[in-house]
Amino acid sequence: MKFNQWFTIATFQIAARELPKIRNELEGHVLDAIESHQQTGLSKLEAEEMAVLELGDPLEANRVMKQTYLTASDIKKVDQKISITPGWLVLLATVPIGYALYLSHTWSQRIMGLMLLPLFTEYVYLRFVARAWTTEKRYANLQWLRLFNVLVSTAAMFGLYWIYAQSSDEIVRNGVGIQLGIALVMTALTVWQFTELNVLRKLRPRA
Amino acid sequence: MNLKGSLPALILETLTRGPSHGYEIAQTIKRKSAGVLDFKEGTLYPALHALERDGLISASENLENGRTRRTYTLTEKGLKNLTEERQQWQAYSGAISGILGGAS
Repeated sequence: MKFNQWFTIATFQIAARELPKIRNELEGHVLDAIESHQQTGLSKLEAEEMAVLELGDPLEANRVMKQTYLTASDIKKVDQKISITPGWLVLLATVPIGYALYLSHTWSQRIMGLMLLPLFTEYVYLRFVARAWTTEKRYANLQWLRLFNVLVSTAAMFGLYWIYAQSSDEIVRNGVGIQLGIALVMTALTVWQFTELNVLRKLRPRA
Repeated sequence: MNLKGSLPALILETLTRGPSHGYEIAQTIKRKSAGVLDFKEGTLYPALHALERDGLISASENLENGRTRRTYTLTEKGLKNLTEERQQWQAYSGAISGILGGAS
């Protein structure tokens, strides 16, 4: 078997972004092995065959690689989650918060509507920036952004509750009640996002 | 004999002798095991990369004979992990020897 054939089988379904580094090291390894075998008197062809044989069963290597590296389906899963989850959050929040803002009578109540801002920031970050998140720094940024979202949403919840407790106007209380519910859901979902995507374990640096 | 989950520990042990690259690590393991362990070199790099990801080893790249080589070095965390692995292995092998050794 030639190295290229071995590599194709061993890296089947491994994400494209992982391949250059794996290939570079394995190719170097095989070249070292070929040199070494040639020194023992083997022809170049025999030495290459021996070097590839020493790599072992490519299917076994593929099983190990799938446990270590991101696979194409991992990437798809991440892409779906980073696209869909924040999208649902935005949709979930926009209508009722907009309605609550429509019912708003005070500046403080309107400010609470700004809760949407970090949500959109997260959405944009996840959707367009984090696609290339193969470094720990980016992963850390993502988690900080989520923490920021949780803090903003929590602060907004306290503020909304304060308005709710202060106001005796039924309309105001209804609007604030809706905002409060949404803030609660957003916070819960963002906290949940911290723990989802176990696949992110694999995204720490291998630079 | 199958390596099962012991490859990472063997890599860490090899790196206690100093920084090394993949091919060298593979040859050291093969030489030291005297062919007893069924070591497939194709599984070495995923193991190295997983150890690097977990901070047990670090890697640096250098140019050698026109080729980029990654040289791996044991980290403090890796050394600590290896010490624990050694203790566990000694306890395990001691227990097995105690049973199998007394069977004859």
